[in-house]
Amino acid sequence: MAVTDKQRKEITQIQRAIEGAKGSAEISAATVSVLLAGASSMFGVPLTPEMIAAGSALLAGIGNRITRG
Amino acid sequence: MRVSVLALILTLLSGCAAIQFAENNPYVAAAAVQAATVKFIDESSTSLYRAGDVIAVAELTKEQVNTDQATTLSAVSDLVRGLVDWNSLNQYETLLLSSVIDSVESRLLDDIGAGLLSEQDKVRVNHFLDWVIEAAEMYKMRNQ
Repeated sequence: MAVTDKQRKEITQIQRAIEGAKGSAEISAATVSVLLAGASSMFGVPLTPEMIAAGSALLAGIGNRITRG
Repeated sequence: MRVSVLALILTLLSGCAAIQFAENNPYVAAAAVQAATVKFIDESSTSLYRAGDVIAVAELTKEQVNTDQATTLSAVSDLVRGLVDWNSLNQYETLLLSSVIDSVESRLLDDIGAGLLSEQDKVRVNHFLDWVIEAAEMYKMRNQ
């Protein structure tokens, strides 16, 4: 069974979250996405994919503002 | 209920301090390790057996670390790789698992270096293994 693009993206996010996201707003948003998705699947927290995306988008916006200084 | 949970999480995560918290806090790594563990287990058609295998590998690795049979990070990661039946995994599972092992090794190399593991280093390695065990046990509890 071939690896899909979505699966590769998830693996990359997990990789970044484990290795640490130092000084990159873009990566920190990705780690939050992993956190929310992980919490959703592991603990049965009732978050839909849309809600996870909304949370990540909000964090990405905050991250971009920080990057722009 | 869903909205209140989301609002709580977003409130906790909003702002510069929260961003820095997420970047530097080990719980980000813990969540990622646990999410990856659950994904790896859930891929199997006999997921409860796989959860048991994951726990056994992590427990055995802890034992080897704590009894000084694996004294460096390189030895620990070789041990884990040697305990995995790679031929039984599909392409995605192989990529996921090897990526997690590499990432944890890389993170720990940054944190504690490549030399002999000190007592404090062993605690750090044990944390990662405990996150795996916790996730696998949680999976078993929820799916039995």
